[in-house]
Amino acid sequence: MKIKCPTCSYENIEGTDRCAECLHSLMQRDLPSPKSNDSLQKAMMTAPVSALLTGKDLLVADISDPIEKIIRIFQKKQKNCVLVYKQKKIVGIISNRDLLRKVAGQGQNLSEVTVESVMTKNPEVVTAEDPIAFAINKMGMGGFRHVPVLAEDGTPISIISIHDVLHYLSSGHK
Amino acid sequence: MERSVEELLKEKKIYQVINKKLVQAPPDVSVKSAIEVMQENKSGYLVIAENKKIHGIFTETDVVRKILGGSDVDWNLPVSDFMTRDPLVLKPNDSVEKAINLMGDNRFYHVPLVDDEGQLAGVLSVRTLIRFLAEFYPTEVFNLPPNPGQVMQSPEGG
Repeated sequence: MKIKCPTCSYENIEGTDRCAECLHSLMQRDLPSPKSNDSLQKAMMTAPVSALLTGKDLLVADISDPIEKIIRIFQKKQKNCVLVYKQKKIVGIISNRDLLRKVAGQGQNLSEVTVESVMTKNPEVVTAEDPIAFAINKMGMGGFRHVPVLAEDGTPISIISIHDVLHYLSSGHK
Repeated sequence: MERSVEELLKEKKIYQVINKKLVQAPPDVSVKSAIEVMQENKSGYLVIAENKKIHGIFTETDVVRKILGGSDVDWNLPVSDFMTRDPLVLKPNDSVEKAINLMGDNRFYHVPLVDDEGQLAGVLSVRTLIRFLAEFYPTEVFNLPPNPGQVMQSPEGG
């Protein structure tokens, strides 16, 4: 694990006090702070994920549920995403993308296909206190359009979508 | 003087951020082949167009909501029976800010792009936008510790 110097981009050993290349301090105890006159940047970097939460869209499936059941609920409730839990721990996530890639046109009997065989395992997660920029980073780097928001004990709070982020940036922060 | 992110989003044009990939098919292809094309291209959408004229867009949401699970759906029907007709579009010259507003408000994953003559000119995906936003802060965002509350007390192994 390396830490990039915010000034010169030199990759330092994590935990070092200063950049070995340009001597810029790497001992900041807080998150990098936004420029004071930039409301959008401020919104992304200081507002927590909790600002995006709607309390809706929190579906949880069991690994042994048939995928047919998930599809039926997605259709009926116009949902796009479900978390998969096993013994109170998150083990996966299923979105329309997984259904298109792994279920559509495979000629399987959908009542026999399990959630476990379709889900994306071990999804990236955030907490409600994380800054929105943190969620944007995970979405951008991993190509995820949904990220579960979990409490410290791992229980689910919500699922945030890329649209929640965009909608917040376009209107919510003002 | 350094410009704010808001100003940069207004200045930046869609054509400057999109990747060139565009997955498309004519309106008369079957649902079966449409889904195969999407799977082969690992894309969540298919722009339905003929001679650069957009007829609609067929997405993974359409697949899940209208096709899957229903035993009565004939996979040989044309994709135009299931696509979303006349989707909203953007122009390559529109600003990234406009795209963020449109996609955030309407909850679209993909928006086709048309040029001034109304001809299909590409597609913008919501992931392109979020990647663009993430890259706005190459140093700041990437350096967020895995847990924002976490502070390294000593160098690794020290």
